[in-house]
Formats: sequence, structure tokens, C-alpha cells
Amino acid sequence: MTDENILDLYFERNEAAIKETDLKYGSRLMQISKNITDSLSDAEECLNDAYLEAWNRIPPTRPTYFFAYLAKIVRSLSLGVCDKRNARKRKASFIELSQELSECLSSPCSDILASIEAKELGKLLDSFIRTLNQNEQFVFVRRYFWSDSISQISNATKMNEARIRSMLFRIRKRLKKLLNKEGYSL
Amino acid sequence: MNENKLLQSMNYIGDDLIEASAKPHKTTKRTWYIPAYISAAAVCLIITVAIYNLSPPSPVNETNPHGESTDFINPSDEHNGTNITTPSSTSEDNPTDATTDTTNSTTTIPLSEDKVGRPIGTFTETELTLAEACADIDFGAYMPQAIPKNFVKETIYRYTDENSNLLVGLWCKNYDDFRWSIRYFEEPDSSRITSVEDIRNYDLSLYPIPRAESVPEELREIVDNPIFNISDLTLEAVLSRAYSINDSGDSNGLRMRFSVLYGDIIVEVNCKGIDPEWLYSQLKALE
Repeated sequence: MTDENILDLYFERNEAAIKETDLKYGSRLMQISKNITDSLSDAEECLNDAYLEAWNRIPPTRPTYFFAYLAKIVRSLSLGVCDKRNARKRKASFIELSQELSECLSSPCSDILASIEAKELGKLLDSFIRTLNQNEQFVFVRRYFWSDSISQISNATKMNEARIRSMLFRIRKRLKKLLNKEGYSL
Repeated sequence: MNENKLLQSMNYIGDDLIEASAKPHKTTKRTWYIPAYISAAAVCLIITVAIYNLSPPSPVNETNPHGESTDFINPSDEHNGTNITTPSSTSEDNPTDATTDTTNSTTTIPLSEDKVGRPIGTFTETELTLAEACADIDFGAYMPQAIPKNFVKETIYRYTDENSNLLVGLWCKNYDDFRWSIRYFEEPDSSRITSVEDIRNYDLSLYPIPRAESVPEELREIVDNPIFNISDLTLEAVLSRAYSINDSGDSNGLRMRFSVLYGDIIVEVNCKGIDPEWLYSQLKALE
């Protein structure tokens, strides 16, 4: 079933929309959530919440990119779950991801950063990613949006892990430079 | 600080970037290889032409919709002009062969037979530059004559399979996008052709969101994507297709989706953040 057909079901308020969405994208969305939460039960919960959220938003919204739309919802919910866990125990690989990106800023405890709206920063990230070549874009988005491991990215791109690590390192260096230039550091 | 602020901010990157990363990735080669590939392809082409000229003539000699002689037409698709880019000798001898032309990112995979044993078409997907797209023999003349300011090319594809035969381009600017798709008119499209007089068929101001509740069932298909004859198209009609949704986290550009018929060619426009007057002038310029 095409995205358009599934969206039509949402617009008709037909509950089969959820089933079709799950059939088409369930496993990929689950993977994103599981990469972030590292918990099958949390991922399942996030996925169900994401479907409910999609059901409530569509209509009136009719996303042009349906998968990306769902992925953002599920990712946002999964990050929320991780935030709740902060006071307790955090997932090692998630900390690794956060630390990789936070090295782009000179101070991890920056008050300035705390005041930056995520949306504004997201726009900057978007324009930064568009300056990358096709390989770099794929690797960067896979790593920091999908939260894929280096070995998963290696499998997907057929590039060796060392090359991916060094590519990510160079990208983060450029991102750090851009953030400095834009005044997002101390 | 919230340590995962940057990770959270990744949620605001463009949907097109996420969709692109969701597809199987082909590692791109460094550009300095390209001249070598082009040279190799040219040599292969010369050899192929030489061999072809030496071989006996094919018993099948079809013509494409432009009346030009070609061996790359699938007879079963002739009525709708579907082009097949697989050399006939190869596909006929061995229909399971798959050919990949690395010089212009063309993938050609002959598909299997239909229920009565006829070949049902060939999958081809070729990524093109704007110049190459404009030179496309079937649809090039219907490419837009200009690209909206500050929009950047995302992809331009020439695509065929057993059901489709189209040229499609996508340009983006932040959260805005501009999709322009060209294909041949097909019989099922006739139910979506509308006159500009019949505003019930296309004027979105008549149908408040959610349209699932406001658009009558029998008009849903045509209201979703009406087809105007180019001679009939007016600026008012284009304006009546424009609407905006104040969607959190998205740009608030005008959205439009409709199609225009030029003889036997349909141009479908699906865009956000494009000026309707500019779009109208582009469509009219192709008349």
C-alpha cells in the first residue's frame, strides 16, 4: 500500500490506517526507538504512542514524507523516555552518542547552549547536513538521527568501520567550527 | 545543559534527508573517476554500435511515440509510449539478465513475463542532471524553464517499469519542496480532467480542512488532484489550489497539488513554498 493510500485511510478515520502503517514501517520505527531506548518494552510503548499521535495529528496534517514524519514522532518520544531515565540509569550507547555530539561544543555545561531552542539548532543542523556530500549525509543522519551503531552503518554502506569513524570525526569537527562561528559556544 | 540537546535537534532536520537515509545506500564514487567512466562508456558504446551494425537486422522494428525507429520499445506498452532501454537482443535472449550502466547511474532490470507469457516491461531508473532531463526525448520539453529561487536540486529521475513511464524532478529549500512530474496521459486520468468553470472539482476554498469531512465522496479523487487542460488554465484556478497549514515544526509555505494536460502529456505539480503566480507562468510557458 502506498503512503498516499495509508494517509487516505487516516483521513477517512479508518482504523486500518494504524495496521497498514505498522505493516509498512513498524519494524523500522521500532529499530529507531530500540536504538535510543535499548529496551524492547519501552520501544513498543513509544511505537504505540507514536501511532496514537499520528492518528490525532492526521488529519488535518497530511505529511509529504510519511515515514520521516513518523520517525520524528517516535524518535521524540524515545528521547523523552531517555530523559525520564536520566535521574536513574542511562544507556551506555546513548551517552556515547550524546558525548560525540557534545564534543562539538567547547563546554558541555554551557548556559548558552541550554538557552538555544532545539528547533533553531535543528535548522542549523539541517543546513549543515545539506553541505555534506551524499555519503557523509547518509552516515551522519544514520548515526545521529537513527542512532545506528557504527557496525550497522558499515553494513548499510559497505564502508569499513574505521572509515566511518574517521568520516564522523571530520564531520563533527566541521560542525564544531560552524557552531563556533554561529556563536553557539563559549 | 541538556546533554542530548543536539540529538534532540536532529528531529528538526528536513524530512527529505530522513527519507534519503531510509533508502538503501549506494556509496558514491569520487568525482575524479567520472571522466574515466565516461571514456570507458564511450569505448563500450562504439564497440556496441559496431557489433550491432555487423549483426543481421532484427525482425521487430517498432517506432516510438515520436515516430522514430527504435528497437527499445516494448510492444505491449506501445499504446502508452512506455520506453524500454534494454537492448532487445539481450533481453530476448536472456530475460533474467540485469544490466547496470555506471556512467549515468542507470539501472536496467528486465522484468519477467505476464500471465500470458508476454514480457511486461523493464525497470529503469536513471538519475539525470537538469540539462539531461531537458534533453529527454519524451518529456524533456515539459521540464520547468526555471527553478524557484534558492531551491536546490534533490533528484531528477527518468523512471520506467511495467506500470510507469515518467520523468520526475524534486527541488528543495529548507522545509519547502517543489516536485515536477511528467508522464503520458492514460485512460484512468480522464476521470480527473476538469474545466475551470466547474469549481466544485478543484477549488479548495470550498472544502475546509479536514477534507475527509468536507469533500463529497464522489469528488474526492478529482479534488485531490485535478487535471486542467493547459488552454483552460487560469491564474485563479492555480490560486484556488493553494492552501497553507500552520503545522508545528514545519514552514508555512503555500501548498499546491494539481496536474496540467498538454496534449497527451501530463505535468503534475506538488509543491510547498512556491509562489502560485510564478508556477502559473511556468506552466503557461510550456503551452
